[in-house]
Amino acid sequence: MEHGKQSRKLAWLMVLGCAGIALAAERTQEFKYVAAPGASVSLINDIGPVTIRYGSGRQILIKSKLSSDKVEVDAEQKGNRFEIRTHVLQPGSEQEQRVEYEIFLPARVGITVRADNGPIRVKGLRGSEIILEGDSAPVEIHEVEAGGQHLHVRTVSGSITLGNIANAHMEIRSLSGAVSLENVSGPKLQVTTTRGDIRSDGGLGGNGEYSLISQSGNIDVALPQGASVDMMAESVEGSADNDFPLQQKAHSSFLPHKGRSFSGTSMSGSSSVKLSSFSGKIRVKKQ
Amino acid sequence: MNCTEFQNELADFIDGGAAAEAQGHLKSCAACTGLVADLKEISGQARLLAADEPSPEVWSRIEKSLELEGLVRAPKPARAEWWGAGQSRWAVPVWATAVAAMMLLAFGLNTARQAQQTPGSGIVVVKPAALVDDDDLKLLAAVEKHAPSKRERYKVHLEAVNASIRDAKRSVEQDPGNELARERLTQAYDQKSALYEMAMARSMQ
Repeated sequence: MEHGKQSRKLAWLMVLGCAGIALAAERTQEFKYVAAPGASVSLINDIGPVTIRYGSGRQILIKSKLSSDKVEVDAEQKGNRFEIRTHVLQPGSEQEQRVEYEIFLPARVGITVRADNGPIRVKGLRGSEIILEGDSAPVEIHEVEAGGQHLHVRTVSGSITLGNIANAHMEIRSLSGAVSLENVSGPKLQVTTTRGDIRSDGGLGGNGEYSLISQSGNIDVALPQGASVDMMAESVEGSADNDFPLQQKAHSSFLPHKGRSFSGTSMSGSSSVKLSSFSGKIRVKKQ
Repeated sequence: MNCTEFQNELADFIDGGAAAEAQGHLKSCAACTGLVADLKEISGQARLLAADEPSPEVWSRIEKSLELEGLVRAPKPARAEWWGAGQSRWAVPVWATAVAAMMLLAFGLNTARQAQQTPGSGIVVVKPAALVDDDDLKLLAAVEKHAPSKRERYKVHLEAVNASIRDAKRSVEQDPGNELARERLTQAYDQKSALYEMAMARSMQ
């Protein structure tokens, strides 16, 4: 009985010891800069999540958590540009090369992130130009008031999610990742996928030009009841169905084919919405 | 001589061994005159084909595929005998060879389609046109150098993008005034450009 208790105690000590070693290997690095409006931050991180949040004042704060001593963070200021890069010192496992970043960004400071695995998360930025590139990294962007700036996202297979984005010039691309938009509006939105599905729920207002294109992915759009849109939709080898009330235009060079394409306007048609797929299904409905 | 009798002696006529009766029929029959003209044209083309003859391996592969399909039985006649221009007793006339060549071509195309559906069936496999070009292969080599595990994934994406360019081009050709088709083509090229940029960025890292 006593021997059993001692064995359990020994086992617990070993577990705690291992955890201690792991924690000892994990390091943190922090960088702080004062940035003028118009400054930009760029980050390259192969493995590990990147989170970018709004930070008040003029301070850029970069927190990094390194999984091992086989990697380090190089940070460099060149005028109004700040370059951060994960530097692999010696080969190691994916876990050993993983670095986790959290960046706090003041208003009107641009951010460029390239992260292979991610995920990349952006929340609450104001007036920042945002350029994000991932390979398999999922990208999530929420609550952004872009102030007319650009928001460019591209991934190879990572999914892209945008929620509550206003006043941005948006270019969203993925080869096979799905793109999901919720309440996204701005002067221009171009979404292109090769195989990924595209879904839009709400938004598409504000006199913007919206273009959703997929080669073989499906395109689903849900518009609010009073949406003011001028819409054209076509799927060459798939289907195109519309449940949203649209009025046919008197003069149009676009000739709809039942079940494959449709066009029309709702209200004053202030936003242009083009939906195009080669072999995917297009569906438009009321929200 | 009527048309049926003439056509029974057509082979001799084409090879130059026609009877006077056949010559007489030809002068009075426009349909048979047209048939003879067509066959002489095919025969002439077949002679040109024979002058630039493919390698023996090609013929042995075709023979094998015909055998597998049950269209010919072993032992097979020597290639020169069934393709040649009538030297041996068993030789087929040139015009018939030309017709056989066209049948083989049609068969080959059909076989290629079937082979795509049933790989490993033993049929001669004629691969479809590659969906990646030389530049794509160079890019894939660069990707492989940096991250070997990603090569296959990028290849799949390149093929998908190239297919989308091909499909979009076809749509624009069919309907040049279609605004959506033109935009799809532009975006298909942009997708390829983006894929190249992403792959190169990783290769140069």
